[in-house]
Amino acid sequence: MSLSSFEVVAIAAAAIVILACAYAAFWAFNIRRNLKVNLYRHQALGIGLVAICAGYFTFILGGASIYSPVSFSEYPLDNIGFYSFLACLAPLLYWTDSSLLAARDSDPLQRDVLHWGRVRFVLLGSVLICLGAGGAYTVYELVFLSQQTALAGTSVYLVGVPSILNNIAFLVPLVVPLAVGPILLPVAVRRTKDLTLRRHLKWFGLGAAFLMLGALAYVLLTALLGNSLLLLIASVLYTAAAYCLYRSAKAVIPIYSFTEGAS
Amino acid sequence: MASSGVPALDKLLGGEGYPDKAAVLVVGAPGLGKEALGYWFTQSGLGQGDFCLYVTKRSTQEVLKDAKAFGLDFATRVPFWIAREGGEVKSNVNDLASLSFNIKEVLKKNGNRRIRIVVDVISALLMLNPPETIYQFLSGLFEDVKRYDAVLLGMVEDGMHQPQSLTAMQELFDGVVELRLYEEGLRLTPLMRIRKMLGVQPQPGYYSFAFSQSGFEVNSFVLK
Repeated sequence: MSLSSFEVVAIAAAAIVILACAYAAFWAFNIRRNLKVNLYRHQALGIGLVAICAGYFTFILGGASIYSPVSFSEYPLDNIGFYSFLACLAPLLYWTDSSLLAARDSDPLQRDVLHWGRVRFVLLGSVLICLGAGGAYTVYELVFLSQQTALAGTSVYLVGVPSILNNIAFLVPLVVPLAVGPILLPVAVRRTKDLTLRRHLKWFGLGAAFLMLGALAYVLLTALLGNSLLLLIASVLYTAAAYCLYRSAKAVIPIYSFTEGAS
Repeated sequence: MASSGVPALDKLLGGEGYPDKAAVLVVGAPGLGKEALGYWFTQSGLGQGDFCLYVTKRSTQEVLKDAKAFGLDFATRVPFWIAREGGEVKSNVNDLASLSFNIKEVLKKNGNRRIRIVVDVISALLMLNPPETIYQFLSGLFEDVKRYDAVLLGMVEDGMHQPQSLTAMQELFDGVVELRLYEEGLRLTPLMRIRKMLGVQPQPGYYSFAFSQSGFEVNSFVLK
């Protein structure tokens, strides 16, 4: 199979994103290794996992754009792809949870943001249960059902289960991780006077915004642009996201170099 | 002298630990292990029969759980707690006057013993009050430290306060131990420095530190 020069550029752009995400993850895990307090270790781990997931999706989308014979508007993500997307949102929720707890810890009055200390058990539990159910079904589908009957989105159903439960099983892991952060973290940022945490959340928020823009680009521009151009645009946005994740990881705690920090 | 509970740190401090009648501040980034120095200091004091006062914004449960993660157990000998929950006296960082009064009362009652005090509420107090108010509170506390022949170990978060507040705070204390994370290429190294210490020669150098099974290890660190 011969690739056009534009496709080569698009693949190179995707490779840069994957490398940038890997670098962000490396720093997150490096910082985690040096921290002693579990709360901050969880935060660093969360960023590392989110960076890995972002890289993974660039890899998947890059592969899809080059090898798919049809445009993205027609490209069917099968259940396994959809489920892996849901599973990749779990680290986002994990990071949000650890950041909210860190914000509470750094608040002199130890205030919970909208009772997160109690609500978290319900939400984390339901996401895990739904992911378990979705995962079990995906394995079942992989083993027993043909790919023809297993298209993504609204067609993802657990066999023999009423549709409302099906929707819950796949909507909870999708909606909860995407909704909790934007709703609760701004409150936490406004409340905390912890400059380090604020810097960390600011960079992570920027990174998440670039990731969302990249995803939106696929959804909104897929009918207008070719796969390679789309991949190139998304790659630029994902590279910006990876850079923000890297800065976010390094902002978990203050890190010094003697050129500027020593006195 | 009051042993820090960490032989390697005692050695850096001249061999026997923190000086008597001194207030020592541990400054460091969140998550690097400042509290652990407080736990070791408390455990060492309890082992020597000193009266140990632990003033914390957290609950006693949280502190005990955290201390356990560092391999320390206060199950047999416990400090006197001024804590958010579970302590002999309830701490309320929102009420500086009562916190100050409670500490004074506890010190007065135990003035006939050697006293060690660990305070982890300084950052919280700095966030809630103007810095001048906190300097005043600390100055009063340090007078009691001298009067009752106590040793105080306070912790403050780096990166959480305005640099000028932190610098002014460090001036108030008799000793300052600094913990920081240093970036060297792709490596991060946790470093410690004795910025100043009453009766100890200034040590400009940094030491790398690590928490291990045997406790707290310190090695000299050479800048490249």
